Amino acid sequence: MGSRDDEYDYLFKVVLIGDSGVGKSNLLSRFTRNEFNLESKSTIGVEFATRSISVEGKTVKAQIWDTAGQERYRAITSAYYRGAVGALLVYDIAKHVTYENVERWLKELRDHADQNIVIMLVGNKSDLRHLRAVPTDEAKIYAERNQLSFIETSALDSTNVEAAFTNILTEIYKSVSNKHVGSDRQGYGGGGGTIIPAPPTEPPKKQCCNS
Amino acid sequence: MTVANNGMAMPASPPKIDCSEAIQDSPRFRAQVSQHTAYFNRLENRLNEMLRHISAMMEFSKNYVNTFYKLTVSVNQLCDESFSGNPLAANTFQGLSDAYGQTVNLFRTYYDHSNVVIYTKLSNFIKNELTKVAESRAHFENMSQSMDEALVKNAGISRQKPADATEGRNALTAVGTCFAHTTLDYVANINIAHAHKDHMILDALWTLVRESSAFFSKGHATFDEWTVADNGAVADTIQTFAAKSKLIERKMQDVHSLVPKEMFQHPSGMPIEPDVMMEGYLYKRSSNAFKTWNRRWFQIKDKQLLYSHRSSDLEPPTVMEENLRICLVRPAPSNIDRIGCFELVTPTRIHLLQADSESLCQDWMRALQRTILALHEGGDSTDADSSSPRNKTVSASSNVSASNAISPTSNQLDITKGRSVSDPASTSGTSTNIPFVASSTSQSSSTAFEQIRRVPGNEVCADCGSPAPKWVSINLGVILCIECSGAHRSLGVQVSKVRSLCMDSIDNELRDVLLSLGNRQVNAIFLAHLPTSPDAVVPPPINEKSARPAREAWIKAKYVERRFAVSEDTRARSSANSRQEHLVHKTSIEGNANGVNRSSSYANVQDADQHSGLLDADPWSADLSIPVSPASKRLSACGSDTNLEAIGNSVDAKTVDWESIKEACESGDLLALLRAHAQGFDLMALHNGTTALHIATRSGQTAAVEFLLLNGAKINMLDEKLNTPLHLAAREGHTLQVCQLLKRGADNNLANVDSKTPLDIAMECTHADIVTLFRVTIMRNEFNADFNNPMDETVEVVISDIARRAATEKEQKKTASLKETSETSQI
Repeated sequence: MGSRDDEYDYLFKVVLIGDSGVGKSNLLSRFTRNEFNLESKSTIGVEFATRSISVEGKTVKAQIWDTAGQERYRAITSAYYRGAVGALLVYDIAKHVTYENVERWLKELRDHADQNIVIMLVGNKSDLRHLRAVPTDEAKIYAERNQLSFIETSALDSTNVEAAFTNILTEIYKSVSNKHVGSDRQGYGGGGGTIIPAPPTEPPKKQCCNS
Repeated sequence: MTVANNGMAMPASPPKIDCSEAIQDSPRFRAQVSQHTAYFNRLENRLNEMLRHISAMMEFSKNYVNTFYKLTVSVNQLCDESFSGNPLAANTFQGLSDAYGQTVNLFRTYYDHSNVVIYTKLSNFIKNELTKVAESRAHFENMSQSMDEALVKNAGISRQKPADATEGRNALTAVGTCFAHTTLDYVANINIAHAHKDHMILDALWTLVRESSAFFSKGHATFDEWTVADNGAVADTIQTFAAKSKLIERKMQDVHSLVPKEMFQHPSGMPIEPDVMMEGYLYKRSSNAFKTWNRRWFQIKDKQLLYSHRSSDLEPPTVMEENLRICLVRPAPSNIDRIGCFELVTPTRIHLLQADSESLCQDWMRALQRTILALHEGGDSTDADSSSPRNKTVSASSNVSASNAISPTSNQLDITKGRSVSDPASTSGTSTNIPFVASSTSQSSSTAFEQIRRVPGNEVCADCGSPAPKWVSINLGVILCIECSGAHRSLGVQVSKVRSLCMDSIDNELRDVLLSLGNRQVNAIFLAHLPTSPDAVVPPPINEKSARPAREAWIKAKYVERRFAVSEDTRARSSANSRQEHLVHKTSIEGNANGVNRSSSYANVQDADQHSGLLDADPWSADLSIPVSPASKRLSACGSDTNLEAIGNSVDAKTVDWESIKEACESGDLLALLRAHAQGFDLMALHNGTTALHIATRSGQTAAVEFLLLNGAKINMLDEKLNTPLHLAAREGHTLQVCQLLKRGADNNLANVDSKTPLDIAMECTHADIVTLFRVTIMRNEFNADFNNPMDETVEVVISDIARRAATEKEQKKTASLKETSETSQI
């Protein structure tokens, strides 16, 4: 962190949620820094990382928020979900209880997040084939029923990590660009806000997901 | 006769047994006996059947009584829950539930008693009488067998054995006699049983009737009594309510006339809370990329615009705009393709809102505009105290016509007034530790304004005594009139930082500082050595009417030269010292500038700390690992023998003071700090490897930290271990201090002597909130070069969320510990 990415067209805030120990932080580090730590400790407070990818020729910068899955750190729940346009709801395919709790996390999203938030159900630790407790099909059906995207990943061997983030960012991009084509000023009121309205002729430069 | 209908002739009572027949043991006797046996068997079966019924009744009645009791309890609860607001209904309820209770008790005694008695009596009869009959019958059968055996034996005795014959006869006689007696016993028992059965069974049955009769007459008496006591009240009440309900029914038929002809054209109804200007639903466009439109309940309250979710009563409303005074309302630009939209423009962003109709949109814009206007006029008005609270008037006028929600001609100033604010500070006057009234950030600054005005001495200008001052020097803690505030401004911000009490926002930290100081106490410091004879005061004190030059002269003498803060001689000495220190300062800067080539943090410190005290003891200039005492450092840097003595003295003098400064920082005694500052003590200097700001931060003294920052302390000052205040706050887990320092722009990227940043320390100590605060700030810095940093608001929200929670927790802890100490002291 600290070094600034290049210019970006869109900034999307994506939150990682799910039970403690399902591998949220490792998904984040795998995606943003290509790192994996088998010994990683429980996340303290909130962590952030960013990475820019290209979606349909636009630079989309993902700002990913990660926090401890335990109940105990709920200090900034509203700020955590505020402005989020995507959520990766992670469970551990080898621990059925983490899958059972998906329902609870969905409720939390319904309570706190934007109604249009793009949610992706992520079954992590797909490398633990011999310990699988949640059948892929079951999760897939569940995801379809709840209109979530679904993917199984492994932060350890990198399987699908890139795809998970790329897919959700693409989905968000489509959702955002469809919704607002020509509807009103882009980039206005979207980011930190400005009291100087951009001239209508100016092409949208930055579409910020949060402010 | 009763059973004749089941087709089988019921045998009548068996005939009486003739005793002579019994002795003969004749077949007739045997037949009679078997009849009796059958009779008693039947009787017993029937009685047992009755007992079963009775025990079932006992079970049912127990259930009945228990359930009835539960009903009574529910009736009572119903009364408490749903009718307590209506005294008449509640009274009636009381009467009825008493009656229920009495009924239950009657039932309980009745059932408990009657069933048990009849059961006992019947079962006793079976046990005592029938069992006896059965026993004697068994005995009789035995004896009959023995008799038969004896007869057989006797009959088989040979003639040749006369002895045997004699013996046999004797035995037969004995057995025969015994058998006869047994038979008669049996007959007697049968007869006794027959005799007993009549009265015992009848008595048992009669018991139930008696109990029932007693129950009903008791019930009758009870309810007679109740009816007398009630005297038709319940019936009357019910009638009253029934009549009322008719009325309400009729009224409710008209209720639909309340539906306005033009829905969503005007505000419906007036706000219930007195200080709410206008309220209603608006759509607000969310600021995220989806730009979702969310319907929220908005309120214009004081100078704030609040909104809340329809469903959640639990959460306090979100503050959309803290201070409407600095906002602007205007119609939404034409490219917003929705009806009834308007914008609220603030210095940092634009909120896009949508009302349900164009006319409602106009109403909202008017209400906002009036509020803003009122806030401005309120700020400029000079006679803030002249008018009486007038909230009701505002509400009333808004009721008259929606478009006339706020009468522009009335004195809008009072929008911020007229609410009772309980503030212990206003009465406690002399105490130096004015209690922090509230740490919750949700308190609006108008409340802070009210609180500050009530600090003793704040009713007039600290310098000239004009009434109703509206300006404040935030670092000196004095309230000023506009004229004197101008003079203060001319001194420069290093001496006096002037703000408007009405127009600038006063956050909690600043409010705490201002509540701890105040005109009376600050003047006591700056005018401590005012000569007693008025003629000796030079320049002359000013009053309301003084001209600008006189004001400037007085204010300069008071705050810059601090002419009256210290006695004449002290002043002379300290000015000499400061000249020497200046010399030292220069030398040390030159000394440092060469050999030091540190990270950017050094440069930071060097710009930031143009301060003799700190630089004198700059730990980088010499061996990093050895803490350098200010005195020795000064000596080495200075290198001039001639100055040694004077400097030594000054250091000694200050070391003595230092302890009291330390204490003041630890206890948050702002007056002591200000006094030291006024007397020329260098609050910013490094002493014993630390600074006042470090101590105040470590001790969690928010107001002291704020005071020091306002009076020139550099926020990234380093102690001997290269810790910034932020390092210490992170280590101690002082979340509020971290919020405060970050809000004031502290750099969280500096490493201390162990190469640890504040974030590293917070991670080690697992202070989750503090870690979050640092990370969110770091994330903001990543976006820093962006125009309109998208993280600005996030950081703001996170900091304020966490600060609010930390403040609440601190408050709770404080109350808890107060309770504890008061409890222990009571013991």
